[in-house]
Amino acid sequence: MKIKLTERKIVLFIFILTVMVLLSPLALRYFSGNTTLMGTESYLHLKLASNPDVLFQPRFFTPYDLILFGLNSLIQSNVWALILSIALGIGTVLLFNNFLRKFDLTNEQRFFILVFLILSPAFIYAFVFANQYSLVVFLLILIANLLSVKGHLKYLTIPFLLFIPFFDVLTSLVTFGGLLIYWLLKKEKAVFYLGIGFLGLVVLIQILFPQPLTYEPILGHSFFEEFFSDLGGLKGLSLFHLFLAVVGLITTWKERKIYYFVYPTIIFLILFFAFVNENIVIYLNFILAFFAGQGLMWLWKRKWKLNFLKNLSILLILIGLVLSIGSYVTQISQSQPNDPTKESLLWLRDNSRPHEIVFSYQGKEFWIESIAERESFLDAYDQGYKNKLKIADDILYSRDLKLTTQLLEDNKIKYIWIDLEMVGGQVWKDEDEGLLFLFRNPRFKNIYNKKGVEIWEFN
Amino acid sequence: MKLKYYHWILIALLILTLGSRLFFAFQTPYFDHDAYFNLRQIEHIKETGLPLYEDDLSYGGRTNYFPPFFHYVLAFFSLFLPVTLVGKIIPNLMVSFLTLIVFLIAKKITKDNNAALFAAFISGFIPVLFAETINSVSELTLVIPLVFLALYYLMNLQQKKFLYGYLIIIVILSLTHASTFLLILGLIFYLIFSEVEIIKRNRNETELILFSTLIFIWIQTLFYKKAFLMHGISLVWKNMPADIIASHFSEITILGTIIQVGWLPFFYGVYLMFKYIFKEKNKYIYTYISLALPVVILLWLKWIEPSLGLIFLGVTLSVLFPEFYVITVNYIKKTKFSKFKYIFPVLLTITFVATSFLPAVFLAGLQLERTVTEPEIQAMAWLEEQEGDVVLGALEEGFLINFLAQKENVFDDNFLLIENSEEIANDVKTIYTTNSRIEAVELLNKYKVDYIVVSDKVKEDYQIKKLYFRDEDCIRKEYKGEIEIYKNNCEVKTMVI
Repeated sequence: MKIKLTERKIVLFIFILTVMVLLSPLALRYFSGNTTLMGTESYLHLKLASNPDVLFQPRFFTPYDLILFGLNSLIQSNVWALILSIALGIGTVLLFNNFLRKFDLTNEQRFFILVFLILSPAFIYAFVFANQYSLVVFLLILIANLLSVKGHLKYLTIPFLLFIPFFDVLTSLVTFGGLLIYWLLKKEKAVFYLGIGFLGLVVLIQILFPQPLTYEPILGHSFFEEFFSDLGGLKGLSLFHLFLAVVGLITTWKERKIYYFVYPTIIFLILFFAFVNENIVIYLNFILAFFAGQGLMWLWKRKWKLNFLKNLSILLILIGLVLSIGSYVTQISQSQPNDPTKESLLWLRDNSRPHEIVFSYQGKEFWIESIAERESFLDAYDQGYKNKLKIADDILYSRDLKLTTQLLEDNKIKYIWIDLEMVGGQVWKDEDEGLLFLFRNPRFKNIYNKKGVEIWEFN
Repeated sequence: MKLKYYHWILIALLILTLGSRLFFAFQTPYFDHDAYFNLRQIEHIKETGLPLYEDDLSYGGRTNYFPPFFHYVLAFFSLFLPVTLVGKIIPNLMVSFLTLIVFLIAKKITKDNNAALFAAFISGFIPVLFAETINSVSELTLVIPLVFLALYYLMNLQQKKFLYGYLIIIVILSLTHASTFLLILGLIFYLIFSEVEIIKRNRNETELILFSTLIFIWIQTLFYKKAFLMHGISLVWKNMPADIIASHFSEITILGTIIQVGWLPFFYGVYLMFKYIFKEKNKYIYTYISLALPVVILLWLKWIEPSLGLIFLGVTLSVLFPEFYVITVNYIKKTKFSKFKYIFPVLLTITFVATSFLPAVFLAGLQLERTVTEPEIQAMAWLEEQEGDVVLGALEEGFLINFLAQKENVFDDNFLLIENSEEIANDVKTIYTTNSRIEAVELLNKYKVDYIVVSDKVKEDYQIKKLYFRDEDCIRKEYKGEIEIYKNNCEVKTMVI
């Protein structure tokens, strides 16, 4: 029995699929007993959303945090971050579906493109972890939809374009790139003016409120490990996804006159990913989902000499994709912070004074600042971050009591927060390594030790 | 069917190849050090029906995932024969069949029986293949013949039996060893070449190659998913510590390549590649060139172990060789020397014997010296009788400690799913090279080591003459012989600073 894919069925299916996919890691996390939000960055946004003094500092101001702040002002709750992410995810998918209708695609092609988009780690990351890219992607797809409207209605993009420069420079670059490609394809005056206006606005905003190139500091990453979710990349692509995208790229080569702008874009985005920042994969994902859908359609529509081989191949791809995403969802549902982490930080909040500084390994500062509401020695957005990283290394790895205590005193560090990850190889592999060895000294007092998390007070 | 002259020669070649292999294999009752991992797996499958994925002895307890088809094949034979005999005979038998497969391929390409016989002869005595697989109980003894059988089937897709045969082989290969990816890569290169060179492909080929790629990725993901997540890109180098990578993924020289692959296959194979790439369009030649090229690239990048790459390269070049033979013979026929055309095969045989057969025998002899020795066996037998669980030895002795001494090792050659492989390797190096008893004992206690083996391998690996921190109190020599074994009775007490 053949099922006819109507527009209504496509919309209904992708809506349900998006909700299921985005809720699944949250549900897994909740039912495993972990009620905390996933990820490190989520806590930065929570902190900003509940603290207007910090929010309105220029380097932190993003429209995403502003919206969260607004929602929190109505009802104070961490759940807003999740609701906002999921709502933006659904909105993005529906808008992308609408955008794809402008292309000469069949319902089946569009359907598969959307399925591959939803079932991609980069998409799940963007709309499950509380982060500004969920709003950025939504806005960009909305702008793309409005640009494809006829006549002066294109200028409806203006209010949304106004928000973009307040995100990172990467987002502005991507937006400008999109406008440029659109103008090259369509040669519409309205788009030209919008592009020029947007560029001017970006320059102005950068002068008045300088934004970072990208929000996450470029800490260095392995290209392969971050690019492939199967190798552990949090925002990467699945191998099967990529396989189909490559098939799609090859099989649409004959129509390269239509897609000529895509190939250099893909190369540019991959190079950007490799050398600058991995967040770009969130945008690359849309392009690859497009070609993955094309790739699957080519496999499906092709007249195979052996029909059973065709069915088996497609089945393998789909099962592989589902298993890959299943594994990814399970992996992220177990991501930090967990309940012991949250409990320890809440205890620290209740058992320390407001201006006391807490020391821990890099990446933990958002939890310390957001949950424990204490100043962290390391702050990724601090201009002296690199110097502080060196000091942190000395503190963590040195067995020289004099050196370590001097550094702790000079930097007014009062508490040291340690979790299982740190003693399990992230920082130390041996119980007598570095700072752990120095804890024998009476100047260090273990004031908290529960479920693998330790807090040490330095006197 | 009446057997023709070349059938008899082929049978003789098979017997010669198998006979030579078994001759060398039975020069020693023991195996290469790495073989003991597979032997242990085979025994476990024989006893329980399942591979030993949760290993209590390796690294003091670890998880191990690998495709087990090869081990199941040998376990089946071990129902009828002792495991050690199976380890000697079956792998050598399987790889000897390569001569038949190469004959079939060469005949398909050249339609010349004599050329095909030469190819078969060469393939039986590729030095690196011969030496590395005699006593190693290696999966490559199944992978290599199957890879080339798959390629032969791919050349005959007009007949449905070969098509189904190809599918079955691809699934078996994916369940046998990860080195199958070299075949997959070769097939992808073939697709690219045939597009660029506009070589007409059989419609089935594209579909089969797509399917092969998918099934291979799928099966490898099942086995190695955890390893992918844990190790990331260092999975390419099997998560080996830096010091050990250098010895396993060493640089290979042109001369080394020629010696290990064989002079004839190397030079004539390279000549053919230059002749055919972007010049003449021969679909079958392109198939094998497509297999050779990625191997060369990966060897150059040091992304595969030299022995693996050279084995694939050697067999591929031996398949390409007969084309050169036919070209040369046809050329000679047209020249003044046509009456000497029968001398050419004789000269070729002599050259092959001198440049491949003899080096193969020589390398096999060298390899025999590296197999497990009688003193090692005796030492392991002694260890098995002792109380105590953990034995520290050289890297290569790890599997031996598990299989023969039935004791836990501190480390061995299988680094997959070991999180702190670098740390362990460094600690072991420190133990063997330090003068400080405290430092050594701290590390020995960290790994709960009961016995420390000091063999020639240890001395060679760590450039030591003895165990520097030994004493008569707590690190006492308990076994004396060519191998020394010390017992650890020491303890370090922690002080407050």
